[in-house]
Amino acid sequence: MSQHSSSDRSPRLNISKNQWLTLGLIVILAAYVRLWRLSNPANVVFDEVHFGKFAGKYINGTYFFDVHPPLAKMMFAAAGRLAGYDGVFDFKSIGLDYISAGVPFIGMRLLPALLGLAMVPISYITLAALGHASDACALGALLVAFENALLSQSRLILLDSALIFFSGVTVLCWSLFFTQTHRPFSNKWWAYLLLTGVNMGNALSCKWVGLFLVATIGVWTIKDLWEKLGDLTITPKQYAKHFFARAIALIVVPLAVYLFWFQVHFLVLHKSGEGNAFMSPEFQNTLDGVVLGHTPQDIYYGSRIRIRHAATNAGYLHSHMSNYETGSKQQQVTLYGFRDDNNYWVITRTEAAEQKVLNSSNPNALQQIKDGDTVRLMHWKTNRRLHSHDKRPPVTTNDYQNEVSGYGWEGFKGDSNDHWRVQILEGDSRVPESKNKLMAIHSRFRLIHIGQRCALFSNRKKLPKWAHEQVEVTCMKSAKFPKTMWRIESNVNSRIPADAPLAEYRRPGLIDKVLEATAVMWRINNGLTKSHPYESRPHTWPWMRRGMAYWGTVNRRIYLLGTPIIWWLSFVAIVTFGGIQVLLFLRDRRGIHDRLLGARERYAETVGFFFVGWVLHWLPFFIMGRQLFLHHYLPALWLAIMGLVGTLDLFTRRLSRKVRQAIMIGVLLITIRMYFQYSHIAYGTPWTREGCEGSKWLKSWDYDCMRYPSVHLTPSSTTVEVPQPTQLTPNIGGSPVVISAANYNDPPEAQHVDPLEHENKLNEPAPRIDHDKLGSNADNLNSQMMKAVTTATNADKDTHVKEDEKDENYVGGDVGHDHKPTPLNPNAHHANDQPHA
Amino acid sequence: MSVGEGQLKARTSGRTAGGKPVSSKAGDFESIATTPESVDADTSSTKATVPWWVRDASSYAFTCLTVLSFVTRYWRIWDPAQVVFDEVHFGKFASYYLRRQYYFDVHPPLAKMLIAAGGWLVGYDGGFLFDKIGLDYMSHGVPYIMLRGWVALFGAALPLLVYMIMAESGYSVAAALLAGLLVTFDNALVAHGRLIMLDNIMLFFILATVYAYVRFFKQRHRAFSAQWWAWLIGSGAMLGCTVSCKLVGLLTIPLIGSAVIYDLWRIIDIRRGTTMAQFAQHFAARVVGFIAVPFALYLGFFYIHFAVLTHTGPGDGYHTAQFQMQLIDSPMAKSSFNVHYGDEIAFRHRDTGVYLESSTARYPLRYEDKRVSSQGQQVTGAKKSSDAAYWRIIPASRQDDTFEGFMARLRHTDVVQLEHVVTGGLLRTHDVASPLMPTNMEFTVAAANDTAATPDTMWQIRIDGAIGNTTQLKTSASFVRVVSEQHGVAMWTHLKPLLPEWGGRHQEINGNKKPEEKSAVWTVAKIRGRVATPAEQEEMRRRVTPMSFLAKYAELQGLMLHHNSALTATHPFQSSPISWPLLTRGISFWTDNAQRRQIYLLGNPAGWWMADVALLLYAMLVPLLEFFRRRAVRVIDPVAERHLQRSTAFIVAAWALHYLPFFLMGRSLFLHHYLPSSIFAYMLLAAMFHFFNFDDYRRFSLRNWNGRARALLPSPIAALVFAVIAVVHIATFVFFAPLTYGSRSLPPDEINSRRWLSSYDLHFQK
Repeated sequence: MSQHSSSDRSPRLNISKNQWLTLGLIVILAAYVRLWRLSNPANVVFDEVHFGKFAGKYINGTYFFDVHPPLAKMMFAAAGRLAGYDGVFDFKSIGLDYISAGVPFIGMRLLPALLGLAMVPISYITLAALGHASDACALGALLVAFENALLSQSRLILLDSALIFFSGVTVLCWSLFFTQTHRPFSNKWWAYLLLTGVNMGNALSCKWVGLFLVATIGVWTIKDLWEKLGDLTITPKQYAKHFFARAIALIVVPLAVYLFWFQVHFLVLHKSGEGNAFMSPEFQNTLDGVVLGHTPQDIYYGSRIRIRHAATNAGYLHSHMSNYETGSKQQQVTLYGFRDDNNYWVITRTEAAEQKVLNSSNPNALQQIKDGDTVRLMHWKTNRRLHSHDKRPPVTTNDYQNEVSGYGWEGFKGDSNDHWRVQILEGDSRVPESKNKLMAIHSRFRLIHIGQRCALFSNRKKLPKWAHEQVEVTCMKSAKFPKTMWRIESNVNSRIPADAPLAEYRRPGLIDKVLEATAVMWRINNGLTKSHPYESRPHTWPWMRRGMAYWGTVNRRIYLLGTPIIWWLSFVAIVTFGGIQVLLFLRDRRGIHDRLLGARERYAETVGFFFVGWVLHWLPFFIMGRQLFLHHYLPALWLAIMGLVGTLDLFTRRLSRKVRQAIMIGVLLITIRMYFQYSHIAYGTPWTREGCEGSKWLKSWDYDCMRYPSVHLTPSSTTVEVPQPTQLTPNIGGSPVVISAANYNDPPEAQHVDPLEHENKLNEPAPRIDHDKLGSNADNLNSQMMKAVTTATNADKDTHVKEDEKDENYVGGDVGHDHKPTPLNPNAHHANDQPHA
Repeated sequence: MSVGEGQLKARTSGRTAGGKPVSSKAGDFESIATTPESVDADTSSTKATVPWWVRDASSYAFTCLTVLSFVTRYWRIWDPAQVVFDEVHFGKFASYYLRRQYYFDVHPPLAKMLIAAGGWLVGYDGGFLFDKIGLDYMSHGVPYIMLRGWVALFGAALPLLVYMIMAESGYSVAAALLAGLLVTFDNALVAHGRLIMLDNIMLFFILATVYAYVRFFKQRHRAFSAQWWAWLIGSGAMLGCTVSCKLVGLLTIPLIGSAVIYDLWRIIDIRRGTTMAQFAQHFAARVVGFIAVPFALYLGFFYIHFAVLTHTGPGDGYHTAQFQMQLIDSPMAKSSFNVHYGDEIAFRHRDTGVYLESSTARYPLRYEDKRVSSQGQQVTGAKKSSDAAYWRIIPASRQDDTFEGFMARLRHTDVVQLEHVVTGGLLRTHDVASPLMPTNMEFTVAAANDTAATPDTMWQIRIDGAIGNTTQLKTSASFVRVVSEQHGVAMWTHLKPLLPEWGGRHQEINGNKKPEEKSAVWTVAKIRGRVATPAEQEEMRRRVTPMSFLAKYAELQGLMLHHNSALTATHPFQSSPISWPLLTRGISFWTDNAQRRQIYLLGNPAGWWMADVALLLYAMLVPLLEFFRRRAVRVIDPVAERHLQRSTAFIVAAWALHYLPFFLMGRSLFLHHYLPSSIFAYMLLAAMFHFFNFDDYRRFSLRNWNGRARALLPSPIAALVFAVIAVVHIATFVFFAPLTYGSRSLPPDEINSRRWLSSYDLHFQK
């Protein structure tokens, strides 16, 4: 390792007056580019569906759940609030009109636009801080200003603009921090270091992609510390100081910032809302409007109780006057997500035990239920007892699953298939007896069917329509833990004295809440594996194989596509850096020490940083199983642009001033030319069919040119060519419903296939959770809970099914192999159906 | 503690390597511990003072290990006399080899062929198909003891190979013996090592590869000598065998690859005086040894595979028609014949196996998502064929005189109409969105007299792999796309979602706008009322174009990769890689309910956890040493440090490269995927034992695994540590042995006493 003394290579930030002036002009130009026609289109575009709606939730203060951390969304809420958005408009579907709904959408879009605009000066100063020449800094700023993908993405209510902004500020502070290397622990040194940490925390609080930024800064810190370690002029004491300063600023501070924004998030969203269903009862208990209050702690025989499934938030053990259509045809037992009287069960003794008590000296004494007791559960409303037998359930028809039903009638004494043993698995540490005695809320227990030796179980499988699509409850043999765990949420017994001890859900602290939210975000995020017409894999990003359609109407459309030359050149710059480093490495070993026009060290220091950042913002996507989109590449793109400019600057320094400027101006002019060429799809302005077709350099850029009028056609023929909105799927254009109510009775015309192929799906927002299905009426917790539960189940169905099957598969010793390929229908060409000669 | 540098230099400079003097700078200290020269030099001076039991310690250790290893693998090898776990597959595959019937498996053939070879040697005829776990061997007359004994040979060789690798890498006899004992008494390796399974064969080749590579590396001072070449080719050959056993063996490639790159990096250093020409020679030799040789072997095993499996068998269906035709008695060749105009045929979808069918039922006017249909007659994909699945082929223009009667054969690119035999309508697609996919076109049946619909009922027949338009459509053997003349969409269907109740839960049939879509392929499953005549069969046989070996190989390889990554079906005993080193759960291999016996695959918990500690120690030690080096503080002997960074690092790399890649795999994973890494973890445990107990690196050199050793156990503490590790490990092995061998029934309390973790889901707990 080379042992530089640190001061001689640390650049100093030195921006002259003229440079500030240049920067000012560039920013004004960029402001025009970035803010032009911000009001176009005046419709809900793409994921504005989600983030606009979330802004409304913040304004209303109702709890919602999203897979991203809260900061960027809260910024939108603040912007909306300032602009006068009242949180009423619900951004329900793409294409809804903003103006008629009176939504101050320009104010809301102004925020991402300004954050995007800020990237222009940030780029300039970052490059300057890294010691690049003023012309290169200007070039970098202009390239960022004219980059169409950054531009489109920052004009809409989307999170990426905030993420990129905070990433940019972090990198800026980090490079400013290195300008202070010669004055460690000075005020500025501390300020830049801490600001790096704060903004890193902010980036992380916008989207988890910010973790890649953390990794980038982390790698560079380790490199820096490693070099310092080899510098024997630094004493161990100084070194420790260096180490802890970074640990605090780059680990503790970002975490604190992340927690802080979550705290704000929880404070603002204090009312219960559609997000409740994702969270545990403990969590819900911290929201206003949720009454999961106190209930008597001890459970006695004869208590009327409500039992909640502990592993999922799918609801309560439920039954109603409605029978199974399969199996025994007895009364249904389900899980139901909202509280009603049909959730009440009376816990009683077995017939024999009852007799014994009746014959005893004190038949009316209250008796608490202990671990290991055998009990019966009587459905309070219908007088059926919780019952199981050797019949298969309606949905999960495996051999080791038994149907659970309500059986009996008034006066029926019951049979032994009503007997369940209470097995308490976990108690609450605050109430140690809850491990031995059944207690509301504190005890988590299983109910083991005595006769069948199976445990009451649920797997969030939905029952068919005849069972009101509630969640199936079964009794599973050799079941594994979590999904057989239950807890009692409320306990009613008139004979319990009023001063009996009460139980209540714990109120989790901030850390617990953040951890829980993080876990749910992680789970749902990984469950986003459904395919989307515009998803793409990371290897297609750097060369921009395909863009993404965001919005479209008769002759306008927004399609996310970068400025090709910037994408391609920046990628080349990155690859070149990697290639040159490998070559240098090998040639050093052979004793040939290249100087790279004297720029070798600076190249490794500055472009090297962007290279590492780019790699860490790109490669990790390969191991992600969830659906990915082109815009996930944008943070890496910015780093690549910085790398490109750094490369151009360093390797043209020895050239004559004219040649150098010619190269730079050349790149800039081509960029601006391309910016204009693709500006139509970036801003969603009208275009011509010929212009559009001429711009399709790659076949895979699938924006549809048929949408634009041809210059050769007369206006009348144009209208014929263009598909009428009514024939398109609902989302396109401004008309959300195809068949209007007026002509409903007329024989409707058949729906045509969308000639635009994917177009009808194009305006689908990137599906995260199907928020539309979550129900709109925030007050109606009843139906909403239920819906949300099932939706949540659907959203992460894939992961769950896997988990579940693992759980379900009971331990039966004779299954097992991993060698048999999935039988791809081996009979496809095989004998069965062949006429044999 | 440290060896004086002057002393080292003195010892190195006198030495020659490969006939050339080695400068003390370039030679470093690296070879002191391991090269024979230095040992020889030392031996001569000290030979007389060493007692005989120390002098021959290595031989005794090795012999002792051999005995123990065979005892553990062969003890009660006849029991249970039933099919256990994956014997289901590998026994079956061996039988197919002996029957010479074609089967398909995701793993390469070598290990399975070796098992079959064992069976062939003892005269087994492949009569038993190992259909279910628990089937009795005795009553079926399977020579299972011989088969198991044959596989157990490979298992028994593992501890010996481990000993040899450790000894060759410059560890003391004690460390090598310890590693050998750890591997000998590992429950998982024993359980696998005595059953008809592949893993031990693969493990054998992995260790053989590593051993050969170590020997090769030790010849580095005699580059291009005969021995150097022999070990180079030998290790390449072993690598080829490893890869040919199981796809997991692919992970050995990066291990050897990184070692080779490291070696080349060493060689290319200009300070060694290597010229680029010399370097090129080194490079080329390694390309031959580590790329050409393994690949040639890999191909060679496939060649044998195809040469043996010449008859039709259960694997046919995975392959293309042409491939299937190569197999003797292939039903495809038997039943495939030409399709003629006028035939009533049933189309079958290749991927999902459904038949194209229509019924009088109509599409509902309005779908759930409020879109509106044509309300036309439904066309759906049904799992079972029925009368409703037959379509008569009508030439597009009935006036065309070139069709003499209806007996003309159908060819590639012909345009036809398809008349639904039961309802008499014509298959049609039109500009209406299909029920489930708004982007695809609806398929329906148009009345025969509906002239407006005529253009929509024209279908072009496209045969995959057709050469010109002379290729004729055949039943079963032709893969065909049915493409609308008018709209360019291909007839297509998909598994999910199914149509709702109104569609009888059939698959939706719709028009896919990408006619080249892989899944838009259909076959003509049958022709009503016709079977192949002997003449047609004969013609078919005559016209089979032979497939070259490479074409067959390429096809099979593609299928293997595809199906391997598709092994995502969940299994009750699958586990995630993170849980393996901690050994949180085993796999139930076999149970006998009557006698309450079971075989439960579980590593030796004590051994695995001790190995984990060694891994942690190494992970902490190396950064610490690097840290001190960076601060120019010397804490340990440079030779010891170098040994730790080379030889020990190689073991750690072997562990990591056989383990970490599993985190990236999406397929279902099992505990036994960790077995290669577990062996390397044991070796690391022994290496750490060595590191902490032997500080004088001049004294423990070994020439060969059976050579002379002088540092057996340098201190009583080392002896104590050795004894503690060995006793704990062996005692744990014996304790868990009933679960490993399934030798006796355990009462519930004994079962529960073996549940060291509550997640060990043993049977008969009650």
